Amino acid sequence: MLLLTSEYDIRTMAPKYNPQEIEKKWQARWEADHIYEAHETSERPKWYALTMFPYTSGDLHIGHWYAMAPSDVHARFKRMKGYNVFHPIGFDAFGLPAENAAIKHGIHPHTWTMRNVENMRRQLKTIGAMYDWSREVITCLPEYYRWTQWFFLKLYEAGLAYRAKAPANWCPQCKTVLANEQVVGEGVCERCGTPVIRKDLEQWFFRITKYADELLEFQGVEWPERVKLMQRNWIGKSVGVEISFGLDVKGVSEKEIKVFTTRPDTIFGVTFMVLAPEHPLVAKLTTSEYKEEVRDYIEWARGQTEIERLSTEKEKTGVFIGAHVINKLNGERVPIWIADYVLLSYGTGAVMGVPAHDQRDFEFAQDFGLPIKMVISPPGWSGRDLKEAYVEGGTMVNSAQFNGMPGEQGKEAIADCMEAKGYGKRTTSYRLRDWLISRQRYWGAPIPIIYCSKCGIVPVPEKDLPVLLPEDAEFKPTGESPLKYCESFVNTACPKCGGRASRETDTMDTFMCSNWYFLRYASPGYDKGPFEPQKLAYWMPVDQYTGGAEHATMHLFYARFFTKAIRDLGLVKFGEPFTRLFNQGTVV
Amino acid sequence: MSKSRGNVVTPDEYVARMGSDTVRAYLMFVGPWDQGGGWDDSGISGLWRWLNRVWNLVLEEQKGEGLPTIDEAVGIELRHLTHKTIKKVSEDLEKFRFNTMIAALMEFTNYLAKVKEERSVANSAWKKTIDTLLLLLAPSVPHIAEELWELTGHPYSIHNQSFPSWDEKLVAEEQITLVIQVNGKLRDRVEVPVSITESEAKELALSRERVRAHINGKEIKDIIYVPGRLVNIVVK
Repeated sequence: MLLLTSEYDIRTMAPKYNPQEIEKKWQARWEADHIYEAHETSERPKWYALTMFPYTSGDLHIGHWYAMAPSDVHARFKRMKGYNVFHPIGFDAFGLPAENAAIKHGIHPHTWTMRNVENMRRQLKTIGAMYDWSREVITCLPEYYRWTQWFFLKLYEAGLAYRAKAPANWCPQCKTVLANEQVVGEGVCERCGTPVIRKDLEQWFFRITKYADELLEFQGVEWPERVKLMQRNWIGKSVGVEISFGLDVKGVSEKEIKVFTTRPDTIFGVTFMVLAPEHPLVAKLTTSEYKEEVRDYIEWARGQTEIERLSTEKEKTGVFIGAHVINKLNGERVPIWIADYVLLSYGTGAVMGVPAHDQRDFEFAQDFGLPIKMVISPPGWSGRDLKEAYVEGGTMVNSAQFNGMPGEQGKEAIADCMEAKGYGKRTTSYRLRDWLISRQRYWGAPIPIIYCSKCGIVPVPEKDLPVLLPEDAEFKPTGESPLKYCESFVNTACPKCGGRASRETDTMDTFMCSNWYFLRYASPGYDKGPFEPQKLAYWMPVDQYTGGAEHATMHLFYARFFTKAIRDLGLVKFGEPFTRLFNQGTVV
Repeated sequence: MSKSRGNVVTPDEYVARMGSDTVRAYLMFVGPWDQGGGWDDSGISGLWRWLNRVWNLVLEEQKGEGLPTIDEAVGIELRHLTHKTIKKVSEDLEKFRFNTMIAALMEFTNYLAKVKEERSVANSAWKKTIDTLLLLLAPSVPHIAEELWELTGHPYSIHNQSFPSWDEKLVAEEQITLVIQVNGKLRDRVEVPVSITESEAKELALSRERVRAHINGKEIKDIIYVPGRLVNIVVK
């Protein structure tokens, strides 16, 4: 037997365990022999083992190891069990940290990122994982982001990408817009912890809400219940009735205000209405004697974060605006208030206040001395006052012809009555908003759109992709994209009329880049499309995905949407990208 | 993909000191994978020592004078435990239960160390068992498994081999009849797995209804256990 190790244990004449020597040796041998390169021609059943690719932060920390070593063990096990295992790796390489490094240390984001890639590649190799390095993907390289832009154009053509002015979550520290999912805790920036404020901007959205119902289903996937529940809650589907309250104010053309409720059975208990401070009707409806107070309140509410506004713990605030609506079912006049706990972006931006049966409304009514009217009676109710809202089911009382009806039956009866009289209609509401993908940043895939004063919004023709990031941009924390000040980038010709036009200067949310990296792995060098169809058809969907559960309502959610969208475009044949999911914990 | 959540332990340092296989094994052992755990330096040393024990178990010559004393019963037990371990490791790997998988492999290597010391199985059976052990280790600690595979005379590469499969008949434990006596008189018989431990056997004996009738209210002076055969409870 030929012994390659140099040290021997004197007592036994056996070589000593020397991992430093043997690990390097075998890693080099496996690489030289390409033993882990996957092929589409195997007779064995395929197994696509995917681990979430690392962000190019600079160093491989223990969290990466904890995600990657055990997933490699599983992939290796599958290989020995007779599968044709594909276990690729790559880098999630666009994003804010690279740009912050550029501002702080004067190093170009590309240089910073590629230096990190090199270091992390070396570190990843020490894991001894069975990665197929021949399929490596790096999202910040033009050969990759060309196709990220291509997908944007496809979504745009399909009406799934649109531009709109919208209040955005704005981080004053990072000077960028954040998606709802990136606002965490008490309304602070996920990355730097600074409280987020709201700001109106023209931005690009993906119409993820179109897929809300399908995203609630998990056809043929084996995912942890916890993650499925988080996504379902994020979508927040609720079935109820949209109710019209009558408006009769001199000089105001609007004759109704609509609210959405899942509790139509409590309609007789409405004692006030609350509008979001930003609701467009507020200015029109406020009477002169309340103008000043209302203006001050709106000013104050703008400085509050969404999370602060929705917090159930905080003290209720609000002001009466001097106007009333009519509860059409009983003809009662109901005062209109504005309060920051109602958001314009959720539902209709107006809610009916039923203090007896909603805890938030109850606290609001108590703080402002508004009447509390019991309309659902708990079993055995003695008629005494409530100490808190009664939110359970019961029997309808103080509700005219509906008295004595069990609440569940009452919901249907009220809805029927509303629909018959034209006071309202059954409808479904979602918590989910469209996905805001614009980032006022340099280090991302430029949105391939051109603005022409004659032709309007013009998509960059496919043949002109990629829209390259200019290398000479200046990195200053100005609050606007460095691309905005880069004239060679901004100024261009309109692809339609040839006239002077300017480029969109926002880049895409990096979650757009990670929406499809697992598709690119199938054929990373392919230049006739984002993937080679036969290779993709062979490997996809991913058989086993592993990664952190913190991505439940972000990457894992967006990737499902994206897959469904490109399925409807006929680009892929499957609607769920990841058949099985396992979320590892953390090592601290 | 995570850009922001801080981690402080630097793996490079541990890889340089103890090797990647030890870090891999430790991360699997630290807790259920979906729950994670706390990094602990003494914990990783335990895994380093274990891999050294595996190394020596496979490569060191057996010590001792004279001819080995082959015991048929140990051979049967070894086969049973091997198949039981294959099953446990396979099922744990399938379901990402890496911590209990590593624990099962540790238990198995401890047992093998004892067998080796006693020199109680035939050489061919021993070699077969070591091959199985290396194959079971291959996904978790791929480098040491590859090295030992080569050093034990196998062609490259262990990672192109099939994972061992188990025989359900051999996994099922052999049952023996345990006789329970009180002051030397037969009071009960019970079917137990061959691997029952002394304390399990004694506890079981004391809990039997037919035995309790003869020891209730009496002082237990001694409990004698003859492995694989009987428990005798001495009362006054």
